[in-house]
Amino acid sequence: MSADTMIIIYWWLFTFAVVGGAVGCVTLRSLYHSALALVASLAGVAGYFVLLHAEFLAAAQIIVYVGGIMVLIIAAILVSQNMMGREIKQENNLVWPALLVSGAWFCIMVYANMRMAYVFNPEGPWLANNVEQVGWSLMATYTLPFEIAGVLLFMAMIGAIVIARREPPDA
Amino acid sequence: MLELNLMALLQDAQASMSMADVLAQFSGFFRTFFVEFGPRQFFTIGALLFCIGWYGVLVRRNAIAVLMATEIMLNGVNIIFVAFNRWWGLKITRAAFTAAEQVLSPVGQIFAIFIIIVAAAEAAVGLAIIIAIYRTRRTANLEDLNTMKW
Repeated sequence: MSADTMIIIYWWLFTFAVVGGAVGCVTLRSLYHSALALVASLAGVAGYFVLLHAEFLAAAQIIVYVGGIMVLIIAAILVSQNMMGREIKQENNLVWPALLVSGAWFCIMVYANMRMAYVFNPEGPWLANNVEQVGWSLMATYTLPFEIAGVLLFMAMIGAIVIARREPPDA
Repeated sequence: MLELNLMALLQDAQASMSMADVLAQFSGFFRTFFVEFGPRQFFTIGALLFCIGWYGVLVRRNAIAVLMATEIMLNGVNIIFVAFNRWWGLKITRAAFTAAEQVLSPVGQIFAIFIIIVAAAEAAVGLAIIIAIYRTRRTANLEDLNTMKW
C-alpha cells in the first residue's frame, strides 16, 4: 500500500469524523451529546492539519479547542441545565428555509470550486520544519498582530470574569 | 516576489461554456473527488462545514448550541486557509543577522492561528454573557430574549 493510498484513507477517516460530528452537533437534541459530537469534529480538523503539514496548528487545535473551549462549553451547559431535556424541541420554525439557504450556498461554492482552474503545483511546497517557521513568522513578520492578539485575549478574559461574576461590582 | 496569478485563476470561469460542458466538468469533478488528495477536497469540506454551521446558527434555539455552530463555521474557514497555504505557499526572504534564505511563508497558518485566538476570546465572552443572562432571566433560549425586538 503506497503512501498516497494511506493518505487518502486517513483523509476519509478524518472526513467522516469532521462531517459526522458537525451534522451531529447541529441536529442532536441533547445539548451534551451535541457538545460531544463537536469534540469529534474538532479532533478530525486537527487530523486534517496533520495531513496538511501544519503540526503546530494541529497541536494548537487540540489544546485550545478540545481542551479549552469544549470544557468551557460543557461547564456552561451544566450551569444552565434546564435546556438539556430531550423532550424540548431544539429547532425553531426555520428548518426548511435554513436548509434551503445553506444548501444553495454550498452548491454555489462547490460550483465555483469546480470551475476554478488551480494554477499551483499539485505536489506543493513541503514545509520541512513547521513549528520553526510558524514561530519565526509570529515573532518577526507578524509581531504587532501577535501582541494585539495577546491584548485581545487579556481583555476578553477580564471581560468574561466581570460579566459572569455573581454580585454587581462595587460602585 | 509575489507570484500570484489571479487572472490565470479566473480565466477558466470567463470562458463561455455550454450546459453539456458544465455537466461533463461536474461529473469529472465527482469522479476524481473520491480518489484525490488536493485543494478541491479541502475546499469542499470547508464549504460543507461552513454551511452546516450556518444551518445550526439559523435553526438552533439554545444560545450555547448557536455558539457551537459558530465554532463549526470558524473551523471550516480554518481548513480552507491551511489547505491553500499547503498547496500555494509563497517564497519569502527570511533574514537573520548575517544570513538570508528563501523560505516558504506559512501565512495561511498564521491566519488560522489568529482565527483560533479570536474564537477562544469569543467563546469566553459569549459563554459569560449566556451565563449572566441565565442568571437573571432563568433561560438560555434565544426566543425568550425578546425585550429588544419590535
